Formats: sequence, structure tokens, C-alpha cells
Amino acid sequence: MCGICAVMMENRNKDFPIGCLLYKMMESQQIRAQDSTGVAIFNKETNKEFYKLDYFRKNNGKYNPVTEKVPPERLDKTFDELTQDPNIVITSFAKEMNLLKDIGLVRDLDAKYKIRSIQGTHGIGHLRIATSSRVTPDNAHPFSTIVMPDIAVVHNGEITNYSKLRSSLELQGYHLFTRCDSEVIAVFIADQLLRHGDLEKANYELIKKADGPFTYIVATSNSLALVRDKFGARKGIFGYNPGNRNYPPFWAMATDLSALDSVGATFYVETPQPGKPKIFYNEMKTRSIPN
Amino acid sequence: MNDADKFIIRKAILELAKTGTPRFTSIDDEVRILYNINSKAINLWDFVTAIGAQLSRPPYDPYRETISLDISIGRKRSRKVILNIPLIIYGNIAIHYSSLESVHVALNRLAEKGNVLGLISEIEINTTKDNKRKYPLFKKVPFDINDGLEDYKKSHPEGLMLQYKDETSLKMLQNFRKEFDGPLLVDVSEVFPLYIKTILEEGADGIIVDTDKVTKNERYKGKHAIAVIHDAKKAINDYYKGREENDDDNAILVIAGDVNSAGKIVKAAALGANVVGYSTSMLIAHSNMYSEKPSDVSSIADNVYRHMVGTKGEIKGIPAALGYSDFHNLSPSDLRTSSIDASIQGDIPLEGIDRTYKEMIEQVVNEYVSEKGIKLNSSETQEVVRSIVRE
Repeated sequence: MCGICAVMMENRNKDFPIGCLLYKMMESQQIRAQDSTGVAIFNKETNKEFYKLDYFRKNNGKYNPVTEKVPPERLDKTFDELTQDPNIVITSFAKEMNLLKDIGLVRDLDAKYKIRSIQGTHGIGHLRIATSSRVTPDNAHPFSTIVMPDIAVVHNGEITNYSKLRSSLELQGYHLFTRCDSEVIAVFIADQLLRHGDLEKANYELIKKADGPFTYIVATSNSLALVRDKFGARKGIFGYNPGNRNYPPFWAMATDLSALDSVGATFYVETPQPGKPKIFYNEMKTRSIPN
Repeated sequence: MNDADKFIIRKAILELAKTGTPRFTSIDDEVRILYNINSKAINLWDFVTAIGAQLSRPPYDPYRETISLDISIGRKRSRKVILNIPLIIYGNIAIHYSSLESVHVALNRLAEKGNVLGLISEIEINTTKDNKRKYPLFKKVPFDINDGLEDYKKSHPEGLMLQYKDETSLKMLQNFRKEFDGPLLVDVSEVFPLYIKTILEEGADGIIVDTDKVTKNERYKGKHAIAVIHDAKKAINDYYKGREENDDDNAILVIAGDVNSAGKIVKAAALGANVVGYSTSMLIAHSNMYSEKPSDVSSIADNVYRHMVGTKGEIKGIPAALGYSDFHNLSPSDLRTSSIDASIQGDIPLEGIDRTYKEMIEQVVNEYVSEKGIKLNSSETQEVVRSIVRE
């Protein structure tokens, strides 16, 4: 019974602190889950020359967060070194993404990282109640991958054939850092994007292959996709806030309606059809309704 | 793990550290001696159970009945054959023509109801206009055939099944691949586990492994069918390792032999079988048990039909209970075993521990090596583990 949410500002507006919107939505859904929390916020201005690698270094049961800026020419070597070390769990590989996660409530995450002040064009948030893997910072969402930069996934539900999907990805040579089924979604989508670059097709492929009840939101540098399993066994809704003088218009996605209410995204409220991804691009013009 | 097991492991490590060479007696043998266990062959199928990690998760009714059993046979360059039940009736021994005719009638009736399954047969069935074949036939080609494909094309089979005997069979496979665009299945039971990579590289669409035959080979003496299935799947996975083919290009694994009940079919599928070769003789024998007129084609066909419909329902039951909507989503992680033998042979986690026996040994070896400060590199450590579990 995890809680997920996302916000996409219209017209590529990157100056609004969307961390504040995510915080409100997560706080309103905190009743659903209290184990761990995380956000991934995208801002094109954050970093231009380096790749940002976030990872946890495990030491005697403690998880120390490390952030490293890596120039493109040193990337392969850095990945080789880090993936060899069993005590390293890479949590984020990014150019434009700021991924922060930890155990505890959303207010704990804000106290640690000041997430409410983070600006960006779009972002996703997650509240976790552990079902299939342990409550540790590396198992908190969002999940990213080292397959390609700027991909993050938040997920509510279970991928019941997780082991089979994971094996097929590992056979292709992909490195997975945790035993959490949500990481498989991130790696699978990244693999599909490398093959054809089409986010919608990538999601359809995952819906076809993945079994079980799930809703997830995948974020890339310019889009968000809200996806429900083919039977619609898990919730997922989206709505629109037309904005006013104080804040720009935006689309919001969440598990519970209360989260949309908390940020006033109560226009054009819909739930995506089971098995049909709903994709939001940050090039959208004001009040456009996605097909 | 008890003290006796630990003692044997410690002994193995110290022996290696002292002599520099790994031991050749398995822990299993020593455990048997210690506990005075009779070393007669045990049917390991009975120790293996399907326990999905998701049993504790809420079922998503009302959808649990929608379990797909469809399987597509044929890689990118081949014509595809779709089976609605992942079974191929495989005549391991020659059967009477009337029995084959009964199977033909039953398979036609099943196909009419949307339950298409395949038949591997060498014998031709004389079909009339009213009784035309409605299921896919995989024509069996003996390994010593020297002629071309013309004879085999006459019956218009949807697929071919070749028996691989040795290197000379490779030439035959290459020729057939050039001439035939349908699925080509290759029975490797005589040579298992050799040649699988070569066979797949030459464009075979599937590998057939008869566990009964393989376990009679010197190489697999004393091992169980689950070890054969595990190794066959591993060989196919090794072929695909690092390649980017998608599922449409995947060669299938057909497991024949002692897999002839719904429970074993599900376990074999979880271990990696895509299709099960259901023994014709077993099918006929099973159906005849309840027949008042054993020689009557129609009554045998009735029983075969009912048996296959029943089997279909049963093999859907376990994936449904595990929360799957596709039978082929079963994987080794859904299995647990209460037997050390089964854990070693099938790489199956032990019940209650959720780790394989090999993983447990690895942990103990690593801890002991670290505690005693013995200098072993990772390959030496793996050598110790392998010698203990006798891989």
C-alpha cells in the first residue's frame, strides 16, 4: 500500500519549487505508508558538464550517502569500480535529476534535504511500506538505473514475475543493485528506451511482460508516464491545476484523490485506463489535455 | 546447518589450504555416511513445492481465471506455431496405429475448442477430408536420414523434429534449416549437454531434452530430472548471455521424459521448460485405464480429450494461486525444496531458509576463511564450494 505522486509544470516552467507540491501530496498520503520516502526532481539548469552519481556505501549495517561528480570520459571506469564493490548501491545516475531518499517520513526527508525548496520542471515522490524487501535507504524509492541517466521510477504494487524479468535483464548484462521489484521497472524501461527511444512503446512492452497488480510513474528528463497494470488492480489518478497569479499551471498524479485535492489539481480528473500508459511531456502548452 | 555439516566443511577447507588441491568427496556422501542414509535414488519431484513469494500478497480477483498458456514456437526467421496449451504429445516409443489415430481424433477435438497442442510423430496419419488435421504436427526425422526433405514436406508438417546424434547431425541440421522455414526442434537427449550452443547458432527453434534418456547417460548417472532441466535451461541462457535478442527470438526448451503429471509440468515450467513433451504411451496408458473398450478409437479419444482438458485446468491452478496471469511467468524463484539433493541439483532454495544449499555453503566457507585468516582467492573459494556440493 505505497503512495506515489508526481507533478509536471506546464510550459517548461522550472522556477517554481515543485518540491513544495510534492511534499504536500506526499504528506496527504502519508497514512498509506511510513517506512521510507523519496523524491526525484528534474531541473535542466542543475548540472551541465558532469554526471552526478549518488550512492550508498554500506558499512557495518550503516548506509552512508555519497555524491560524486563524474566527467563523461571517466564514467565507464567509475561504473566498473563501483559495481565491483558489493558494499556500494548506486541510487542515481543523473544529468538533470536530483534524487533523494531515506527511511522515515516525508517530514524527516525534508528536514534532511530541504526538499520543499527544490525547483524543477517535474518530479515524482514515493512513500513506501515494505512488502518484498527490507526497510533500508537503498530499498526506498524512487529507483534509478545506471543503464542511462535521468530515469526514475516510483511504484505501488507487486511485479509478481519479478525474478523472471530480473534474470532476463541480467542475462543481457545489466547490473541491478537491490532485490526490489521496482528496480526492475527502471532497468527494463531504460533498456527499451535504448532500443527504440519511445517511452510509450517501452511502457506497453512492460505491461505485456510484467505480471501482478501495480501502478507506477516513470520520469525521464522531459516526460512522466503514469501506468497501471492490464487489469487495473492498483489505483492511479491525475488532475490539472490551471494556476493563478501566484503559481503556474501544472498536472499532478497520485495514488489517492486527497493528494490532488491538497494541491488543487481538481480539473480534468481522470484515471488512466488499465494497461494504457498516460504520458505527460513538459513541452505541453497550457491547459492541453493529453491523449 | 548442524555441527556435522560444519565439521565436514571445515575439513574440506583445511585440506585445500594444506594440500593446495580440492577434495573429491562431496559433503553429501559424508553426510549420508554420518547419518547412515541409504543412498538409493529418491524421487526429488516430491520434495519440490511451488511457493510463490507473493502468496502473502492479496489476490487480484476476479482476474485469477485469466491465465494464459499460449506459447509461440519459432525464432525470428521461422514461421511461428502457437500452442494454446504448452504440451506436445511426444511418442517416445512406437505405438500402435489405432492409438495414434485416437490421439489424432482427440487433438482435433481439442483444437476445435481452442486448445491447440502439438504432436511429434514419425508415423503418418491418413486424414480424410472430414478429418483433416487441425493441430500442428512436428514430423520426426531420424538421425540417420541421408535423403533431402522432400519426403517430409509431403505431409505438410508445421514443424520438424530432428534427433541429434553426433557431429554428422550438424550437417543435416544446416541442410534442413536452409530448406524448411517452419520451427525446427532438435532432440539433444543422446548428446546432452553438448552441442546446444552450436545447434542454436545453426537456427534451431527449440531444444528437446528427454530426462529419462539423459539420466541413463554416464554423465548424468545418479542425477535427477530436475538437474537435467536446470542444466538445459542454463545452457540456453548461456547462449543468450550478453545478446540483445528479445523474447520473439528465444529458442524454447521442451522437456520430455518423466514429466507426465500436472504437478510435474508446473515444476518443470518453473525450472525453465517452455513446453512439456507429454509421452504418447503414458497418455494412452492413462486413458485406457478407464476405458471399457481399450481398442475403440472413439472411446480412447474421449479419454485423451478429457485427460488433456483436465490437465489444462490443473496446470492453470498454481500460477493463478501465485498471482500470475501467464503460465510462462513461473520461475525458479517460485520453487522451494526440503531436500539437500534437490537444492544442489536444481539450484532450488531450501524451504524456510530461502537460500540454496550452495549459497549456504558459500557463506560458511567465506566466514571460516575470513575467521581463520586463510588465504584463498575467489576462484579457490568457489573450487572449495564446488567440491563440497559436488557440482
